[in-house]
Amino acid sequence: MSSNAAIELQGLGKRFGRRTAVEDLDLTVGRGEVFGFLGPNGAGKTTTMRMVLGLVRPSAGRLRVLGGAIPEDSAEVLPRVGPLVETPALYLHLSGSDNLRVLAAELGGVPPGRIPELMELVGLSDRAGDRVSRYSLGMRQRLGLAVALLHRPALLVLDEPANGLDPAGIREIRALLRQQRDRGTTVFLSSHVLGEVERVCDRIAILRRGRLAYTGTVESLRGSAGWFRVGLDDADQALIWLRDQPWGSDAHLGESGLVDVRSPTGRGRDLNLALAGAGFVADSLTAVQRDLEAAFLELTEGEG
Amino acid sequence: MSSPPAAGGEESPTPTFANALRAEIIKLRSHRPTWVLAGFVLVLLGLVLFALSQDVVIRSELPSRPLAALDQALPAVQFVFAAGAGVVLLTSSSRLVGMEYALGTIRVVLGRGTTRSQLVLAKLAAALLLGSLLLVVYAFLTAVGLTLLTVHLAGSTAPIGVMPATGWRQLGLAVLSCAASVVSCTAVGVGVGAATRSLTGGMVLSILFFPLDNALALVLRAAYARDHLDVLRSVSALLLGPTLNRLPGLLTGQAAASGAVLPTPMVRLTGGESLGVVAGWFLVLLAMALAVSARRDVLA
Repeated sequence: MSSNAAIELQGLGKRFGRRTAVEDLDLTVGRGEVFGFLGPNGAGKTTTMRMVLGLVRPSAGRLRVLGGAIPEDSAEVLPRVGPLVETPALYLHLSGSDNLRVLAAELGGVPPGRIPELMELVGLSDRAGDRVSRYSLGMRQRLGLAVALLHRPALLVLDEPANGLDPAGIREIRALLRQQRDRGTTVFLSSHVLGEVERVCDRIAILRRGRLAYTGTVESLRGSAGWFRVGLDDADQALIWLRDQPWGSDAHLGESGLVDVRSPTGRGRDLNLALAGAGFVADSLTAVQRDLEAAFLELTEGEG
Repeated sequence: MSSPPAAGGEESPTPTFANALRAEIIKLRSHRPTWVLAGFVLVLLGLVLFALSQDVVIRSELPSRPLAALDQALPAVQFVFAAGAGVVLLTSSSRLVGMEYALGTIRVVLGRGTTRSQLVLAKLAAALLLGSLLLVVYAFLTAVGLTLLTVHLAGSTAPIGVMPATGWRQLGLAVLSCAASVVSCTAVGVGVGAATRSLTGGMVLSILFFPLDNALALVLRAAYARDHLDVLRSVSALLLGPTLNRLPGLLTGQAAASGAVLPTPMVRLTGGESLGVVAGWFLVLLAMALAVSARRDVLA
């Protein structure tokens, strides 16, 4: 395993009784990366994050976080991790500041000035003394983030950090994640807000039924299905021919009379050659960039 | 959100048992219902002291035979502590554990490197500290109350000055018996809380532990009366509640108030052996709390 990785999963698996939550998962998150972890509900994202945090024991495989094995080296490694798993877990009978105080005491070594600084950072200074039971979901989410950032962790593990936030709050989270990346913090992020993932993540992984369905950059995922938009003089005739081909059955007329079609090999030049061989000369041929949502839904079709 | 804190490298916190204990004390300190219940116990003590001041035996014996008056007063005072502080400790210690699962904060605490054993031991230690504080305050207020009563009835503190050494020894043993109760209730609360991983379930089962334990003693007694099996007598000697009911009487040699109205073991153990039973339960409950916390997945 690479010592330069923040998270390394090798053949990771988890079963709960007869149900398999995660199976044979191989994944590496580099240090300093903002890594998006996606998948429909029940795909195994939260279970994987819990394994990373030592909360759930893997049934199979190996797991290293910041160079240490989990769960063996948990005591050394986990103090350098800032977790926010599912809904923010907070002591409702305590104030926002006291929640940070309790966790600062638990960790030790957190300077006293850090707590007001963090309350300011997450926009809760005015409500710092209020009981958390009186906080809205969005405010709890912000406090959960403050808890995760309490000790300037080397790795942030964030499960749905934008949950319950309004659009302005989501934008602030995005800015916060970028600041963390600039500081060199690794961010392992799960989110259903695909637009946000697209904007902040260097790489993503998509989980489907507990197995890895994709890992790579957002850009390569958007262009990876091999769809092209082709300008042709005789689009109608070309469409008839294309639909007769085993690889072109789902070709259709797209925007501005251009034909959207999948390449037989995924490469544009092979599509061009096929068209030319059939007597259709392309005026233009461009790769179709799908948005992340379309790519995500295609990969996880029928899930969630 | 505003601009971030000044950039800097990551910090290297080190979760330790001492840090975990500090955090547990903050959690306990901020829980108002615990202190309201504790205050209620002290109000009960006040009522008991007032009732004792009206007791005919105490009024007649205290000026001339303080030891006899002490014999009369101590069982009631001990009984109120065992029952009142017992409820406070059973609920607060099981709550300390169950709360983490109910709120999901267990994810944050364990996900930061505090080990499961550190957490269980810190919770136990925090609850023991609460019990010790209750005991010290209770003993102090009892001492103040009895002194005032002495002054009221005898006109001075002279009877306290002439109390024989036996009296002071009895007071010490009464405190020891209350301490045994503190240790037992704390261990039951933490053990049951860890086993149930539930706030409500843990608190309810902790409160029910001693009534069930005492009921079992009655069942064993009835079964022994019918079958005369010695094993039933031996088993009754291992029950925690009945042992604690008899402990004050065994240690101080008085007729314990709890032992008079609540079930006791069918076998007559010595004070030392009874303390051994309490210690055994403490260790078993602690081992159980550590074992059930050690490997189970946290899905809260």
